[in-house]
Amino acid sequence: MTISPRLREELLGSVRSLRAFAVSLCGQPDRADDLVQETLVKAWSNIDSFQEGTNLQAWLFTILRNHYYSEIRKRRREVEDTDGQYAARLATHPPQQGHLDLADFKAALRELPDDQREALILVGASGFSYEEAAGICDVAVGTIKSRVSRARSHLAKRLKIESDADIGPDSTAEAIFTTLKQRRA
Amino acid sequence: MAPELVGSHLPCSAPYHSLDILIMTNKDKGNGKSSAKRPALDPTIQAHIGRKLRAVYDEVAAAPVPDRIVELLSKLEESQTK
Repeated sequence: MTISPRLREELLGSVRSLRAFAVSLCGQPDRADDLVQETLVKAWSNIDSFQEGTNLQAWLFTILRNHYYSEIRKRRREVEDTDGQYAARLATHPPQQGHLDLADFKAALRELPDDQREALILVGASGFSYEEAAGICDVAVGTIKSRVSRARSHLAKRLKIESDADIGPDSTAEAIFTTLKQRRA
Repeated sequence: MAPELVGSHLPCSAPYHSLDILIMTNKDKGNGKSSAKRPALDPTIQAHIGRKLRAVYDEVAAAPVPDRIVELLSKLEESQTK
């Protein structure tokens, strides 16, 4: 097999976004790096099937995604949810008052169903078009659009809940109670 | 197309509509909100989501590639030149 210098450069350049995508899929940095390694080995040994000039990044993302989901199916057959690790990973932090920082946003992201999260990441962060994302996930463009839209709505609801905590009736009511108590004292 | 065929692709249109009305009625009783399924998102919130999303992504994408991946890449390149 031969890899042109240009293709090699492109391949190396894709590693960073591949890692970010892998983390968004599995939620564990170490596992994500395993996925990236396995993807690179697969890509390297199948590089002849890649048509140079087409979208290398989309090709790599497709390999990584397919590999990830086939691993999940394999593991599910082998062990049913080892020690509740999966459940622990999905567990969300209790909602915090005030500013929704990055950790809270991540927690909200993890609440999303896998298919919605990956669609949102591909389109909203990896910079793929709806058409490219549909190709990577092997679904219709309309499906990707609807997944992205549902994901956004869910996050928006979460963000709204969080920002309402700042100015909403709960804190106002609390302030009134406090004032009343102080007056009574 | 014959005019009488228009709408014939919607069988049982009457029960379908009455079901729709039933759903809407229940919804209105429930929360009094509009029956629109997915209203357009506030652009500010949408932009906010976009920024957070890229921040989460870039946290990993901007980080240095771990040694083990760099090593793997060199090994793969070596195997190519053999």
